[in-house]
Amino acid sequence: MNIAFTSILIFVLLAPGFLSRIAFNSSKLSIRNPNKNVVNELTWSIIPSLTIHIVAMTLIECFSNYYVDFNQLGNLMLGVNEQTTVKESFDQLRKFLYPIFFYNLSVFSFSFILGFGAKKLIRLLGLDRTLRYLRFSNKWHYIFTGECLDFPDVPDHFDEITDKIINVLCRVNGETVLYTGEYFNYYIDKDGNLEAVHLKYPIRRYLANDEVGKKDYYKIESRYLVIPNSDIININFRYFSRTELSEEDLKDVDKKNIIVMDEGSIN
Amino acid sequence: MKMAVNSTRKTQKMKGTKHTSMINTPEMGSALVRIAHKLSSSKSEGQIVKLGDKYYRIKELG
Repeated sequence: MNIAFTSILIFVLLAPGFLSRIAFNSSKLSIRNPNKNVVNELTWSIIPSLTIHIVAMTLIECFSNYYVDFNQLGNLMLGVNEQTTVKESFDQLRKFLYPIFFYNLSVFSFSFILGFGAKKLIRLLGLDRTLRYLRFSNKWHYIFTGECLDFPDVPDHFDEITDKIINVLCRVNGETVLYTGEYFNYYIDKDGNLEAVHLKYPIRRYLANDEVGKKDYYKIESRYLVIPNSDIININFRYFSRTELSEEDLKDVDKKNIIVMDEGSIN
Repeated sequence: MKMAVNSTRKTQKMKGTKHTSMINTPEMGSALVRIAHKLSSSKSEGQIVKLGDKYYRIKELG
């Protein structure tokens, strides 16, 4: 028996687990390196594949007259050399071609939906935030979106966030510049490393000016600014909860410490 | 001089999300960015901010 045929057969058998893993990791929440080792991926697919096949075979045997002939499967996988056995196995394959095809098609489709559904369910119930073992591999997602507030032992909750302000300290032409803006987006490379930060309503100031007591911010006349990671020294995240108040709600102590923002005022 | 916030201060709730994150108008977003460095991170009750003619209590989370 040709070794290539056995490899294809093993790949088909492990495909349900492989597909469910692809569906599970199909969002920005997961880091997916396209150069990842296929053998490694298939190894991680063994247990999900076996589970899905066993469930599918049980259902087939319960609700139809079909069953999986393990003798034929073993012959094909183990690569027997006797011509009569090989011929018999391929005759069986030809005879039940359509049931085998539709069985695999159903199992593959179900596996993909299962992986996708599992991801959706985890996100819907917020289990990835509360249980570390269900957390997705892209750690930046939790930091930039503020979902890290729902991690155990962190005060406050993600649902309370109304505004996310980010300070990015950068090295530009030998000078240290602090960029501040509202969070808009972030970009990661295939290995999950931060590639760039996308800010909205950006302003900036040079840290060197602090020494001469000049803490002016310069308003950049643009709504969006992308800062590449190569320039970034560190990033400061601020998650705010903003509630509108009427003037009657204000206490005397609040009125004394009020911060007023007028047009043109930056400091 | 009045801020432009007055004219378009409406904020919209993000579609399809259950949390309270808002899409700010450019005036509101820009004002928040410019005022953020004045907000203390060590006050748990938050601070009152007047943006245009509206008052807000802004509290840092985490």
